[in-house]
Amino acid sequence: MRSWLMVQRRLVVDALQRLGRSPMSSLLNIVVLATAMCLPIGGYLLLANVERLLGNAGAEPEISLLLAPETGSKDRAELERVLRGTAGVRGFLLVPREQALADLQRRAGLADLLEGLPGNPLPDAYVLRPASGNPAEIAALAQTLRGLPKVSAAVYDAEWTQRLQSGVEAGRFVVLALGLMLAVAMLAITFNTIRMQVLTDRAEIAVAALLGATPGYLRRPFLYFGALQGVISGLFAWAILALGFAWLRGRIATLLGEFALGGSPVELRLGDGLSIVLFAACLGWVGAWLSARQYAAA
Amino acid sequence: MIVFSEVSKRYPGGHEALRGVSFALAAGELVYLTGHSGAGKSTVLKLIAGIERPSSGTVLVNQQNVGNLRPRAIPFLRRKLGLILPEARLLFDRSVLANVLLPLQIAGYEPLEAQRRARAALDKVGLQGRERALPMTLSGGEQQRVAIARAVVARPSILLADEPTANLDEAQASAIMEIFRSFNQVGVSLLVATHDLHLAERFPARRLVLEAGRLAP
Ligand SMILES: Nc1ncnc2c1ncn2[C@@H]1O[C@H](COP(=O)(O)OP(=O)(O)OP(=O)(O)O)[C@@H](O)[C@H]1O
Ligand SMILES: [Mg+2]
Repeated sequence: MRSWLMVQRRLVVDALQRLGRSPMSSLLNIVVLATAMCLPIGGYLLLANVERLLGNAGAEPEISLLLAPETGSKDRAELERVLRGTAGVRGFLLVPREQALADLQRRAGLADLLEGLPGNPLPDAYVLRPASGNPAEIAALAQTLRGLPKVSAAVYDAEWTQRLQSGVEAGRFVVLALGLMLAVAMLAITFNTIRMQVLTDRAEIAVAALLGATPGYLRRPFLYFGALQGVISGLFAWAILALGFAWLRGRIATLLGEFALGGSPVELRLGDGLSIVLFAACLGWVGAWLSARQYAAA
Repeated sequence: MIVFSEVSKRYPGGHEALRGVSFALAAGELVYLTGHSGAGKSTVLKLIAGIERPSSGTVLVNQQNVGNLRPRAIPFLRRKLGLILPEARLLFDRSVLANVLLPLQIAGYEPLEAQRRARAALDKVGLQGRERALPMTLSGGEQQRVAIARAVVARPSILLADEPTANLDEAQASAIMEIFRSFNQVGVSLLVATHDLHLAERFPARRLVLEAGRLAP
């Protein structure tokens, strides 16, 4: 066990020395690998976060029925009777226009502005809970409700979440395509670096083979090198993303103010960072393995 | 230890380097392999080490048929042999000690045990105190002794040497042969390819003479 650890340590030190042997090209490689990783991974994390927030926000879909200005209590009683008989409506709540105004003043801090208005511009409204959470069914229900007498509009919050949702889906496709391209590019870069390493070490490899080194033994330093290069690039990418996300978070907070969604869409968690590093290390390892298999044999 | 029966070797170019070669090397024996340039001496050693494969006939090393070995078995064959071949050069970017440590690292020895053995091997070839030196700073004879230390450090029972005294003056060549003799005296088998007949006369032993790929009677 101790000697195994010592062997691993020797291999890691050897890989670091290899990186140090040509510091400029190593650095360049690492920067290229890291920036290549940032784009799809950053996109992926943004999407994942937006989806998580959508999941929170869209948990309880609502439809707001805005009533025509002249609606009286008789009309409302009639409307409530119809709503009770409508399939797909789980429940509803009347929000009188005075309450709506008070809410708005409190929530948005618009008291001064609203004070200056001649009257209350808001209509009475019903807030409905649809029985189904399915966006298509909610849309159909809203369509039906729009046709009821004294209803001037039926708005549902799901509309924008739905639009975001389909945006997220398109985004996920783009990110996936980018990610695949990135993986291939990373493999190619590592493959080529290792090829150069094998060529430089040709003489040494030939001697070691004569002294009884197995192909696995000959390959191992290159695998460690590939993985180490991946780890360092992954750490670089993590740092770049963390900085980028911190900057974005500031911008978005200013934009959204207190309407923020109960969480920022730009979070980079410890687990995300570790995954990036692990992912990069695996790709580096595989690229090195492919290259060493091809060139160390020759 | 080593048995050749009716071994022929034809290189891809079509040249037949060995034709129907048969001989045996017993345990603890010292044998010279002589002959003119191009006679096939190096080819014999390469067949034993699994660097080349025979075109026909069988090469047995410790009862193993080397010609039939799977590629993955070849490294383990080589670990039982000590090779002093021009192909197995010293690594000039690392110290004498690091060069001698290489076979032990490959075989997976404990680092401390490896250090101990490498120093002992350098001791045996008279290079104690030169562990930190770079091979470049050593004379040809000293470099050859580093190569011998590296070949014997894992204690193989067979040593194969290809022109071990080439480019050495008589005194240095004799020093190398003395070292070989000391290993032979403790039971190591040696097959030494050389065209230095002078040397073979000074250190008499059995001689196999190759003539254009055939063993002379
Ligand atoms: N890899 C090879 N491909 C083709 N022909 C080869 C190869 N290696 C050796 N030969 C040929 O085989 C013959 C025997 O070569 P070998 O190296 O065994 O001779 P040798 O006795 O060691 O010669 P020397 O004393 O010059 O070292 C030579 O004619 C050589 O040209
Ligand atoms: Mg030769």
